Amino acid sequence: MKRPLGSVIMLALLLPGVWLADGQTLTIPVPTELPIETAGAIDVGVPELLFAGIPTLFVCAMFLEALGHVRERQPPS
Amino acid sequence: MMSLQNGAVGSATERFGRIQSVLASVFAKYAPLVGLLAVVAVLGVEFRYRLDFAQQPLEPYRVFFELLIAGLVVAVLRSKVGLVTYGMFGPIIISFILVESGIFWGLVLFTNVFLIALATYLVIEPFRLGTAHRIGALVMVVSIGITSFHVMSDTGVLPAQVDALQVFFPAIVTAWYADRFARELSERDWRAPAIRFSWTVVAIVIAAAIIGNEALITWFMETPETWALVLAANVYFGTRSNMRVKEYLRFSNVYRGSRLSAAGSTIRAGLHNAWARLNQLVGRDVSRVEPTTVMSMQRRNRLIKEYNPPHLYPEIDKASMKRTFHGTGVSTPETYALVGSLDELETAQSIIDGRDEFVIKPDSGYGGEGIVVVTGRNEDGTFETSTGDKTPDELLGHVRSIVEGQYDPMGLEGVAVIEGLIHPDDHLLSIAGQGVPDIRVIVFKGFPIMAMTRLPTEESDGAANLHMGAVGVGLDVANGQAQGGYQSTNKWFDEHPDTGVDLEAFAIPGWAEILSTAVKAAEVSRLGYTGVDIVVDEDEGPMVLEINARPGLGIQNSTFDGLLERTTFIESLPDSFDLKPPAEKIELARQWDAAGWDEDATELAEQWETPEWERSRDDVELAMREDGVSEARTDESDGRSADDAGSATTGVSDR
Repeated sequence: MKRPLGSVIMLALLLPGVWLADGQTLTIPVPTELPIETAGAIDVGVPELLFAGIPTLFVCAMFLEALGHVRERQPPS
Repeated sequence: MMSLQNGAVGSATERFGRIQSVLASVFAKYAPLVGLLAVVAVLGVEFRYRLDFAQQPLEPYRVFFELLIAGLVVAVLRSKVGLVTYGMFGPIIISFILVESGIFWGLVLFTNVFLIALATYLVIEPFRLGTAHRIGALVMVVSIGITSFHVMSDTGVLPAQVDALQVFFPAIVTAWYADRFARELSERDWRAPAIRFSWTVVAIVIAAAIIGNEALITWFMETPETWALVLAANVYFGTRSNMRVKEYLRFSNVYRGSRLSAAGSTIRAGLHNAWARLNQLVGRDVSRVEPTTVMSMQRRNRLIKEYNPPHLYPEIDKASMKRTFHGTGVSTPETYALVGSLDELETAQSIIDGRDEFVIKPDSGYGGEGIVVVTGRNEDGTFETSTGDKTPDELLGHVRSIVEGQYDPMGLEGVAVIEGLIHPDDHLLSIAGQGVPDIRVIVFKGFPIMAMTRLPTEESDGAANLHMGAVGVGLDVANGQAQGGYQSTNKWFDEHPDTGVDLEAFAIPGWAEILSTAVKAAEVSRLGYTGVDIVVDEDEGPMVLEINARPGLGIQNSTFDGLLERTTFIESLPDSFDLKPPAEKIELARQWDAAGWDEDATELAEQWETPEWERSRDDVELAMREDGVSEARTDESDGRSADDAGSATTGVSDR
């Protein structure tokens, strides 16, 4: 049940979600110590964040899973 | 390194005859290829003379040159590095998107479309649609998704780079990727599909990075004399059956040396064999060498091509093999039904209604995919199965999905095999604690050359497949003695991870009968190189579950020994050994195994070719020598009893 439900949520975020979020931005505070010209905050468009963030997370998760068998490599006793 | 053959230099006439013979065979093989390369080279020269390259006349056709280079890159990544990707052409096509839109946004677009198809599959999965409707649904949603992304890009919601390819997107290829990913996910959990997806992405990015190099493609396009070289390089790489980079990692512990020394050995062997080939051209015999005793996938494929004729393949699916075994004395689980069309679902229904224990499997499934083991009926009418509790309708739905081609490599149609449940013998079951442990025997030219038992674990959910988490325990062919456990994630165990049973302290009872069953099954199948899966039933004894025409190579990690050494040993035997009866072949294999497969084959051949009346004296000497070897091996193995080795060499008894 978890997988189909997660799938529907992902479809909703990617298809109507990206469009419905048009114009919305997410403000990410930047520590003032950092030499960022925007001085204090970065505005990221929510549509871009959804469109690029979901696949990026998925690819990262897949690489971690795929490389797991290398991490677990042990010499024979 | 392992020597393959030795020969002496003959007389001048013999040498001349051999030179003629070698030249004739070299000409027959290479002349057509040289002709093809010459045609392409001449074409290139023609291009040079007829076109003015300063005007960039081939620029409109750049895509074909990108295709050519991308093809070579992906082929090398697959065959030499060992990247497991979704097909060969898909990564090439998708790499074009990355060239147009930039690597980041191209990958984002591809992954989003992939995710849409994957999510659609998981939503419709409970309905068990047939292949045609399933793929149709995926392509429909993917098409709507791609259109939506383009429109969002047109209206400024998404970046303009997403719109780089207005119409073209390989929707069907991506939907097919998602379909395969989801099916693997259902059968094997996340690891296997994650590996394939990740390496597909890596191949796409590498191919895109290379074909995105404009200077390289332009140079190649405007230097038509080099076109033939790329074709030649592709043929050359394709003929090399050496170890892939990935296999150096996978079998690193079987080399018994560092990976660096394994690579060094490969280079030395390559140079030596090139020298040997040159010598052969002038009629001299120089020994060829193998860099390692490990069987690589490409080497195995060559062996399969030679010893497993393609016309036998239609006869080795589970359903056909059951028919073939009928009346041959090879035991298999009782077949309740073979359901090959939707009209026959009533038969499956009657079995589900009338029986509490049975197994449903696709006839052409791979790696245990699609197998549902039904172990009992609950009070509420549902069944206890290897994949959780199932209702009768769900089991019937599974049969239907098999018939509709869910597990068929081509996705067209399939046959569901419904057969009796095996109750495994207590011995192996007590070690594994669950599931149905089986024994894989590799049989080559009628000789059993390697064996392991596959013990289910909690991680494998009771399945006996290594890639699902079962533990493979290498077995001595000589006496069925266990050698320790291995999991496909390259973990080795002294004890079973669930039951704690010592995996070096047991031997398989009735070993002679198991070997005999394996060799008989291989003989009936007519395959020269095969892996026979056997289960020991508590009442019926050894039963053949399956015959594999392409047995996996993981067994080498279980036995901690290379297959190539053994197949080469068998191949070096005189032809007369092919005609020996199965019992004698088994006996010989057990003796060779006890001697570590390093006896000189020619010497053994002479031993067995000696007339009977001369053999008695030789037999005594052989037995004495082997006893010495067995004792030495017993000392090395630190824990194996002398009785094990002794009984193996004489073949007197099984434990």
